[in-house]
This record gives sequence, C-alpha cells and structure tokens, in this order.
Amino acid sequence: MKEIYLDNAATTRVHPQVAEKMMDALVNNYGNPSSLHRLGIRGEQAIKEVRELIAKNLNCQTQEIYFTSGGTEGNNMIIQGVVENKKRNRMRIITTAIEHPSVLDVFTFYENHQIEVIILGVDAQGHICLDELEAAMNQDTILVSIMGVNNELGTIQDLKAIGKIVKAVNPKCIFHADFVQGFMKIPINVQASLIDAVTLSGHKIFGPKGVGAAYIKKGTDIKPLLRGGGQENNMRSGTENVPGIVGFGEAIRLRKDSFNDEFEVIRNLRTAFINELEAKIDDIKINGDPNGSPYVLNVSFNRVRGEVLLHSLEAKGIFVSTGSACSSHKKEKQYVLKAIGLAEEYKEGTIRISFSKDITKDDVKTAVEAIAQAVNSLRLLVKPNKNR
Amino acid sequence: MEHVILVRYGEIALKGLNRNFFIELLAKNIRNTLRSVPSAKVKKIQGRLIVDVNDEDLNRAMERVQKVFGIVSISPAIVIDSDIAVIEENAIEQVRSAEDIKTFKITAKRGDKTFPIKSPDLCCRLGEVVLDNVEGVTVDIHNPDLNLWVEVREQTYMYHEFIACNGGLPVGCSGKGALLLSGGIDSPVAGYLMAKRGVEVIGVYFHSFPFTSDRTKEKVIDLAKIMSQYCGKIKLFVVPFTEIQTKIVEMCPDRQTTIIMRRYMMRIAEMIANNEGAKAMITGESLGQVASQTMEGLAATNAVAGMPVFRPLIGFDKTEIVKIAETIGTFETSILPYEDCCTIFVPKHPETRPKVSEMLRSEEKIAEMMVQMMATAVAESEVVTL
Repeated sequence: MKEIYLDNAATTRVHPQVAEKMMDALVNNYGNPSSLHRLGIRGEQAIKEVRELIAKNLNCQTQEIYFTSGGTEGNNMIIQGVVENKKRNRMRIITTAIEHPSVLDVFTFYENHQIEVIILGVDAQGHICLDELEAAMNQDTILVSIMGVNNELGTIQDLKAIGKIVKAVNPKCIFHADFVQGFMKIPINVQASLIDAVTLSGHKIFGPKGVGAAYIKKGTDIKPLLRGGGQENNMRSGTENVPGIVGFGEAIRLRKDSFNDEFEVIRNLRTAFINELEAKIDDIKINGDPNGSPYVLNVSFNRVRGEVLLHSLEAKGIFVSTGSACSSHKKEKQYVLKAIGLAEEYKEGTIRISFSKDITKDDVKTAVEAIAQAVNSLRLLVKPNKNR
Repeated sequence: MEHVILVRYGEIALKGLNRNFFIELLAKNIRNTLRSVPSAKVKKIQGRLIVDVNDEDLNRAMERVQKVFGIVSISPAIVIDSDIAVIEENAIEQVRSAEDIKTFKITAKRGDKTFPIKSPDLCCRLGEVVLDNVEGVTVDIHNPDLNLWVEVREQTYMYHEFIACNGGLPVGCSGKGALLLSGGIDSPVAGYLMAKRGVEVIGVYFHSFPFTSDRTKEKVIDLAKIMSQYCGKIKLFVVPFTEIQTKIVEMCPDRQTTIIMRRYMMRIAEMIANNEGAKAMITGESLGQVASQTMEGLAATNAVAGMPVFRPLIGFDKTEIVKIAETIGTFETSILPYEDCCTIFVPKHPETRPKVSEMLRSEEKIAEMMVQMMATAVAESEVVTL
C-alpha cells in the first residue's frame, strides 16, 4: 500500500539531501561554534551561511536572524520578550482569534496580568478586518501579532496593509508575524511590509524538527527568554543546534529557486482535489479563502466525525489531520472553526488536507476516491438523525 | 543498622485456618511488586511481614508496597540487636535526629520474653535516657510530636511512622474476574475495587478501529498498567469489535444499538472469562449514569450473562468515582480526548427502558451470523500482559 501523506502542515518528511547534510554535520562538523579552535570556527561558519540565506529570503540583515528550537519558541521569545521588556502602566497588545496556540496562549496568559489584550475576530474566510485593526490601535499598543498564513485554513493575511496601519497609528508598536506556514512557500519582504519580527520553523519545509529562526529587527528591544552563555548575540543562550541549522539551511536552499513555480503546481492540485471532492460527495463545505495558501485545504463533511474519517483513511494509507484534533472530550474547542463561524453540523466533520510537492495527480484521485468511500459508508452508520 | 519495611496485615489475620494461605499469598504479591527492586527480600515474622531493602531503595520499595492489597499499614523501621545498650543508643539518636519536635513518647513492646526488661520498664528506661541525652524535648504520653515504637523480638525494630495502606484482601485469594475496560473513568476504578477484595483481574477491551483510534487502545493499555500496580499482573484482551459493531448498527433499530452492543460485549467477555477460568465479570456501571445504565438497561445487558456480574460502582456518584480515580492515578489518563466506542454511536434518543424480549427480537436477524463473528473476535483478540 502506497502511503499518501497529506499532513504536511503538521510536519514534513525530511528531504534526503537535508538528512545527508545533517549527518555530515553530526559526524564531521561537531565542534561547538563557541570554541576558539578551528573546529569551533567551522561550526560557526556553517551557521553563518544559513543565517545569510534566511536573511536574503526575508530581505533583512544577517545579524537580525536568531536561531531557535522552532515556531513555538520563536513566538514565545518575541511576544514575551516584547511584553516583559516594557515597564509601562498602560499596555495594549493585539492579535487575532485564529493564531497558533503558541501565540494565543501567551496572549491569554497576559490577559490576567494588567495588560489590555485585544483579540481580533475574522470573517468567514479567516481574514481580519483592517478597519477593526485600525480602530484597535492606539499609543499604548506595544505589540501586534498576526500570522501570515493560517495553519488550519491556509488563509493569507495582507501583512503589507497591516504593517502600514500599525505603523501609521504608532510607529513604535512592534509588528510580529508568525510565518511558519508561509516561509519558502509564499514570498515575504519584511522591509516592504514594515514587519519588526517574524517566526520561522524548519520542519514545515522538509527540514528537521527542533530548529527554527526568528527575525528581529535591529533596535527592537526584546528581553531574552534564555540566559546563559550569550549565544545568538545574547538573545538566545544555549549551544547552537549546528546539525539542525545546517539541515534547515539545506531545506531552504532546495526550495529557494523553485517555490514560486511550485506554488502554481500545488494550486492546480488543490483545485483538482476540490473539484473531485465536490463531484463525488454531497453536503460538504470548503473552508478558508480560495485564494489562500494552496498548501492547505480545509474541508467539512456534514454527518461525519472528523476523527473517525481520519482513522478510516489511515487504514487505507492516507494521512490527514482533523481541523484541530477535536473530539467531544477535548478541553480546547475548535477555536479556528468557531472564529470563522462554521455551522455546527459541519464543525465535527472537518479535516485538514495539506499538500507537498510529492503529491501527484494520481494521489489526488486515490485520496478523493478513498475519502468518498469512507464518507459515504460512515454516513450510513453514524446518522445522528437516522429514522427509527 | 539496616532498614526494613514493617508490613501489617489486618483482615487476613482473622481468617482462621486459611491464615497461612493468605499470608503466603500476600508475601508473594509483595515479592511480585518488588521485582524491580532487586535488593528487596520479604520475610515472615510473628504477625508481620518484613521487607528487607537497601537504604537507597527504601522509598521506592515503600511506594510499591503501599499499593498492595491486604496491607493495613506499613512503617519504615531500623533493625538493631536486641541489646539494651544498643537500643538506648538508637532511641537517643532517633529522637535527636527527628525534626521539629518538642515532645515524645516511647512505646516499647517486648515480644521476646527472654529479654530481661519488661515492656513498661523498658518504656521508662528509654524515656529517661532520651530525656537525659537530648536537649529541648519533654515527654507527652497523650499527644506526643513523636511516638517512638520499640519492638523487641529476636532483633529489635524501631520506628515512628505509620503509613496507612488500602486494606482489602491479597489479590488472587478471591478468584478471577473479567473486567470490561473501556478507557473511561469508571471501569479502572471498578477493577481496582474488585482487586481490593482479592479478585485477580483480567481486562477485556473492545477495539473498533476506525471508530476508536489506536490511541484509545494505547490509553487502555496505559490504564491497565497503572491498575497493575494495585492488581498485580493484568492480562488484557484487545477484542476486534469493528465488524460486530457495524453489523449491529446496520441491522438493529437505532434506539437499541447501544444496549445490543453492550449485550454482545458481555457475551464476548463471558467467552473470554470461561477460557481463562474467570468466575465473574466486572463492569464500571453506575445506576442511572447514562441512558444504558438505567435499571432496565442493566437488566437487559445482565440477561445475557451466565455468571455473576459485579458492579462495584453501582451506588457511586460520578464525583465519588472521580475521587478514587484520582487517588489511584487513572483519572488523568482516562480523560485523554480520544473517540471511544461508547460515545461514537450513541443515538440521539437511546432506549432507556429496554425490554429483554424486544432485544431478543431485534437480535434475531443477526444472532446466527454473530455466533461465528463472536468466535472470530475472541480468536483474533490480541493479548497484552501488563
């Protein structure tokens, strides 16, 4: 049975070339970059190259890139770093209702700490309303954190327009964008978009888990989360994850010239997937923005439970995810689906399909066929309103 | 000086001629739970069990022994020679090293009548030397901060801590029971309570992939593992149930699917119980908790059973069950959010007053094919021993 992996927004399979480079770094380039001897310098050199590569792709300076352990650390580092650094009586921070938990949870944590937290709602496609943002902005606003690409829906926010609004009202306010789902898939230009901080992660682009990076604009005051040896220009102490960073770098290198073309290929795949789905299954709803990231397809099936569908597909070698791993016992609600106002009868039956360049047209056919089969047989069994 | 754990058994001491059997069983269960503590040795002395253990393993051993059923309390103790000078010296040391005490008391018991000093005299004598040698403490015989027990036997045991245990009977003395384990909060507690009465528990879990995920199976295995700290070794049967469940949902009226499903679970559990020499089944049902656990619902599931069905939680409120689950450590695992087969097919309006005759009529259509399907399910069960 061929595996069809459609959960690439959760994580990706490491590219063989990435693994090879990492293996080399693990075995040969094993020095501690802080060591004074030549093995240390070699490690530092390897990191520097990746730093330059990332800076180039964000359009920022090399020294504005800091390596982290991934998206969660990056988001925490930036949000906590900004808030903890300000000692003002009145502070306001703004985010959206559909952020990743590593943003949203930090914001709600500060809600109980005398900080005014504003969480912007989104429309049915998952876009924030720019007027609402403008109205929420004031001179006390120290931080605006808005994700570039939503992980569940694929909806893309207009970072350029957002940056403009933020800076127009309060040039001192720090604008942060979680760009974990966008990096090396859609272009970003931090200067043009007036962004002060960005979070990136390695394992969403065929790099390794446990490594990521943050862009923090020069002159931005941030209190470090981790103190110690003073690595990463005192911003993030801890011995650098050389093999991870090398792998991350190789993953970027492999995509940097091709991702614009890939975008179109994936968009065609996604369109084909939707067309096939709609032809074979009734009573479904495609969520998010048709012009959003083509890498994510969020679809709801009425009268089916997402998790059961997921397991049925798994039995056929097809791997997807539920909207947000929800079930009736889950403490955390399906907050993204709630935020876009998805009707109750669809919420339970939501899955997320996320593509990669390895998915073929045939895979799409096989997957849709399997989904149709599973949905139709599940609907026969799990009918909440089945006549007695 | 070496450390031991003194183990006191209560109820089993009363069991007349069978006494020895119970004590041997308890000793065996303690040995089993201490398999991972190689330094521990279990010995019998008059009216007690003694666990001999290296100093560094003492806390780990106590934690494990505490959970064995049939024990009333345990005390970490030191063992010294039954020599009055040695006893005095250690009594002083014990009181001196105790933290934050102002008052003490000596409770001495002379078990070995060849020891020259009688119990009351020994109390006085030790009290005196402690008073003379430890600064800042006085005697309070009614409400002391520290009550130092001195048991003089062939050797002398000295201790001041009593750790209450769970009581009950040694697991294995009351036969074997098949527990229907779902992954929820209730069934592990039910198994725990029956094990407390000496029942050796085997687990039966019905796995309905894709309706229940493999994570649920892992969760049930984790639960059984936690239970095994109390129940001893647990043999868990993972029964493939998807086909049977699907067939029931397909062929039987919506309102009755839950009860009919439970009836088939009961039938299969009984087949496994018979194969394993179990004489009863155990469920976590609590009267009125959900639609299928009304008195009529219980009667309808009970009707298929040919052996007693123990429902130790029948009169418990949910909060009481949760409390026990928290104490024994299964709660956190039980509430992990995976689909389980009991919720996935729950009809909108389940039958709350089912009649056995109606169930039988509905089952007629499937009864014949079920004979084969049940046999297959039992044969294809995966056995996990924990």
